Amino acid sequence: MKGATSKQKLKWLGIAFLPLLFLCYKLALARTVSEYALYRANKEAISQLDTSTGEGISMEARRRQLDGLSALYFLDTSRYTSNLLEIVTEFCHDNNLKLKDYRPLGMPAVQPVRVLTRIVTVSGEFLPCLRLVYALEMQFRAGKVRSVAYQSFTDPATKEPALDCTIYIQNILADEK
Amino acid sequence: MWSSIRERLVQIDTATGIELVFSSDEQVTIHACTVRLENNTPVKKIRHSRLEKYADLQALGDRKAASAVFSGRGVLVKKLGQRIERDKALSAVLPQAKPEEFYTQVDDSGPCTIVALARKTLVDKALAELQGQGITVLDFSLGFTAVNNILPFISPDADGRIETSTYTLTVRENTLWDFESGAPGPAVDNHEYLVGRQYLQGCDLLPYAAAVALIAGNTGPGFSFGHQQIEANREEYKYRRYLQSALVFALVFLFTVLLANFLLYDHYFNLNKGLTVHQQASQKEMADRQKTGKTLAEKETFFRNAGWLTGVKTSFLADRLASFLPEGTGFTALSFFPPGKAGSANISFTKDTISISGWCNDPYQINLLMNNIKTLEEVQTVNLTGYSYRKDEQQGNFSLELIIKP
Repeated sequence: MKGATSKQKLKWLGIAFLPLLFLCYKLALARTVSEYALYRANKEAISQLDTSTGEGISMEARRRQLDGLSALYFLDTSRYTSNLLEIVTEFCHDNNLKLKDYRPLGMPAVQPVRVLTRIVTVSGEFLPCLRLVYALEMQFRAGKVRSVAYQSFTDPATKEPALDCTIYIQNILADEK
Repeated sequence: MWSSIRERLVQIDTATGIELVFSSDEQVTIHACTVRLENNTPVKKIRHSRLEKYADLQALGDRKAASAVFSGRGVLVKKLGQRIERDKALSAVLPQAKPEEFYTQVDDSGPCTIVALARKTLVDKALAELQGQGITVLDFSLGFTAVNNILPFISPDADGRIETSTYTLTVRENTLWDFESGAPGPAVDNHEYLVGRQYLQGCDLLPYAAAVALIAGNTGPGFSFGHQQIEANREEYKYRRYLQSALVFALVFLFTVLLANFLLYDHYFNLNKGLTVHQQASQKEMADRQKTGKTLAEKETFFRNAGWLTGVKTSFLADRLASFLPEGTGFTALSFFPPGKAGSANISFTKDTISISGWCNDPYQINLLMNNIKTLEEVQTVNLTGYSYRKDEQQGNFSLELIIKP
C-alpha cells in the first residue's frame, strides 16, 4: 500500500467504494427502509382504524335506532299511557267490554333481548274490541301488539253469541346488569 | 465539461520554486520560494535563501509541487544574434557537443535568441537529490528563462536592470534585451523589486517565477525536456489530486448519504413511535367496538326476525276484512299472527299469517270473499284451507289462511 502509486490507490478506491456502499446499505439504509416499511404498515393499520371509526359512527346510529325502538316498547308501568292493565281496564269501562283475562306468560329468558309477553282477553262487541286493539297499537305505549285473535262462541250462561278478543302484547325488559 | 472539471482537479494552487546555483567547488547554493494562489493572485508565502545543503530544504512546508531552476557553473547561457531552430541550438553554441548529453533550452521570445545548456548528469543528479528530500519536481528550467513568466509585472531599476542571484538582466519595454552572467553577491538579497503588488528580493525572482509558471500551467519552451522522472512525477501528482478529490467526494457522498439516512430514519422512527401508541389505544377501542357491533347485530337480527320492525296494524286489517264480508257469510274466528306455542314464556309468533274461520250459506260467497280480500294491498296470497258443508243446517264452514307481504 505504501509503495503503491496514486493511480493504483485510485483504482483500489473505486473498487472498494462499491462494497462500502453495500455496507452502508446493509448497516444503515436497510434499517431506514425497514423503518419506512413499518411506517407504511402502521399507516395502513391506522387508516383501517379510521375506516372502522366510520363504522363506529354508523354503529352508533344503529345503536340509537335500536334504543329508540326499545324505548318505544320498554316495560314502564309507572305512567297511565304505558300501564297495560290500567289502559285496558279504563277502556273496558268506557266501551262496555269485559276484561276476562290478564296474565304474563312466565319470566322470559330470550337472548339477546329480554321480552315479556302478556295476554289480555276481553269479551264484548267486535267494534269496541277493534277499537281497543287500535288504541293499543296507535295511541298508547303499552307494548307491541304481536297477535290478536277474535273468537265467537255461544255463551253457555245466556245462550247468546259472544266474542272474545285475545291480545298478545310484548314489552322489552331492561338488560340485567 | 469533463475537461474543465479535470483542469480544476489538477490545478496547482501552491508551488515551490527552487533555484540551484552551482559553484565551482561542486557546492550548491539554494534559493527557494513557496507561492500560493489566493484570489487568482500568486502570493509569496515562504522563502529561504542561500541554503547550502539539500537537507535544508526540509524546512519547506509544501513540497508536493516544485519547479527547479538550474544556474551557475555548469549551466551555459548564450545569446545568439540570429534566430535559430531549436534542434540546432546546441550545435550552434557547442558544435562538438553530443545532444544526448545535454539539456537545451531556447528562448526566442525577445529580440535575440537565448540558449541555455546544462549537462544531463549535473541536472539529473540535482533532481535526484531533490527527490531524495521528498520534493516532487514537476518542472525545471535552465538559466534565467523562467523570468519571462513574470517579466511584464516586474518594475526594474531606473536603468532597466534586474539583478537575480546569478544574472544581471537588462529589460526594455518589458522585453529581455541583454544579460550578464556572474553572481552579483549578497547585495542582491537587499535589493527588492516590485512584482505585481508585492516586493521580492533579487534572489527570489527566479524561484518565484518558476513557481508562478507551475501554478499558471505554463509549459514554456522546452518544458521538462521529456525527462522521465519529471513525467512520472507529473503523472503521480495528477493522480494524487484525483485520488484526493475522489476521497473527498467519497467521504462527502457517504457522509451526506448517512446523514440523510439518519434524518430519514429518525423521522420515521418518531412517526412510528407515535403511530404505535395510537394503534395500541385504538386496538382496545376497536375490540370494544367489535363486541358492541356483535351485540347490536344480534339485537337487530332478533328484532327483524321476530317481526318487531313490521308496521302492519292488526286493527286496520281486521276492520278491512270485516268490511269484505258478503251477504250470508260470517266470521267465527279471526287470528292475526297466531302464536306458535301458546302458554310458553319463550313464545314465538308467525310474522305473516292470518287465519280466518267462518260460515257461509253459499260456497260462492267464499269465492267472493277471497276475491275481495285479494284486493288488499297488504295481502300476498289467500288460501282456502278447509270447507265443510252441514246439510242439516244448510250451512258451510270454511277456513282461510292469508299470507301478508313482507
